Amino acid sequence: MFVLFIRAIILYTLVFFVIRMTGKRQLCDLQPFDLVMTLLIADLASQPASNTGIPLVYGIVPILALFLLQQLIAFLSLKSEGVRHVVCGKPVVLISRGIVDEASLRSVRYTLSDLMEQLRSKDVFEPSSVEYAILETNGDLSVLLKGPSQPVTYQALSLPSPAAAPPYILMQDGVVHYPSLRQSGRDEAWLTKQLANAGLAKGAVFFALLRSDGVLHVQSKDSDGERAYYIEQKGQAK
Amino acid sequence: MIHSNKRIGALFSCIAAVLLLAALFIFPNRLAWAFCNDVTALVDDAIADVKREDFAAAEAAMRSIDERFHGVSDTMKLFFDHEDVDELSASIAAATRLVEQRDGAQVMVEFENIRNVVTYLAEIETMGFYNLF
Repeated sequence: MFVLFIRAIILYTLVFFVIRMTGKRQLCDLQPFDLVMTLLIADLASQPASNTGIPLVYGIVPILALFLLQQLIAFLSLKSEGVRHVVCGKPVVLISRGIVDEASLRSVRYTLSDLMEQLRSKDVFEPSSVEYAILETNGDLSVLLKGPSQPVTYQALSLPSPAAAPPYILMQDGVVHYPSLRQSGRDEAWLTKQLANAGLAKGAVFFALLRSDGVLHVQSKDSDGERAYYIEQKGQAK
Repeated sequence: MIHSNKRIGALFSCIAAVLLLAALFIFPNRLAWAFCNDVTALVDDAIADVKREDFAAAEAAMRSIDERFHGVSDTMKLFFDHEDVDELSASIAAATRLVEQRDGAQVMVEFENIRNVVTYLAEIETMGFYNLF
């Protein structure tokens, strides 16, 4: 079993370095050590799962080895910048002040088409409108637009911005979510009253969301007409 | 609080993984080597008996091998490839039959096969350069 453990570590290290060497193109929002784990674990699990002649421990030992190695690498990356650079690499600036850095592009094995594709996925069609484009360690491209191309914000227009917070899911399929109800600072009596005002029984509610602007958004189940209700709170503090 | 709980959870899962692995490093290795040593000694006895043409003593040795094997065969299937364990089972059965039939020449082949399989099972549990690669 110890042999299996060491073999798994050798394979992990090998696959890890191959992925690091192939560059960021291969990554998909995962750090290299996470991706290696994802690639190997499925195969390790499928072998003993599909072959009853192979003991389960032949899958368990390598999977645990990968788990421990991944935890160790994640811990070391957290503690040491040097380890983080080796394990995750460094972000690479591909566009600086509207100029595409050819050498950087080559170093990460990106073609101009790849860069344009990534920019288009960020709704940017002109490299000249980009102040900085940085290829992150997980393969994602971060784009900072030039001042004139940046979207207008409430702050730029000196306008008061709406309160932005995710809604509380107070009910789902006729069942009250008490933790959300408590977090929202309401109680069941309040919810029952709001529903009664809208002429709804609890059992008829498909979902009830309390929005950040204080509006209670309720939708009835399809058996009850699948209707949406927006119940505004009078004197509601926003 | 949530982050602290997650860290404690991660730490405990790591400790549990290490303990389970430690058990898996020690137990199958000891099982395989103890079984290998016992069976190899019994096979050597049986070979000596057959060479002396003392087939009654060889039958007794084969019974001991069979008992020793059946005492651990289920546990072995937890840790070793079932094909290898089944091969060992078949070789022991074949050798027992050949000893009963007093076929001294053919039984030597089966004895050698038993010895090879038990040695193989023990050696794959041994850390070594060639096992790694």
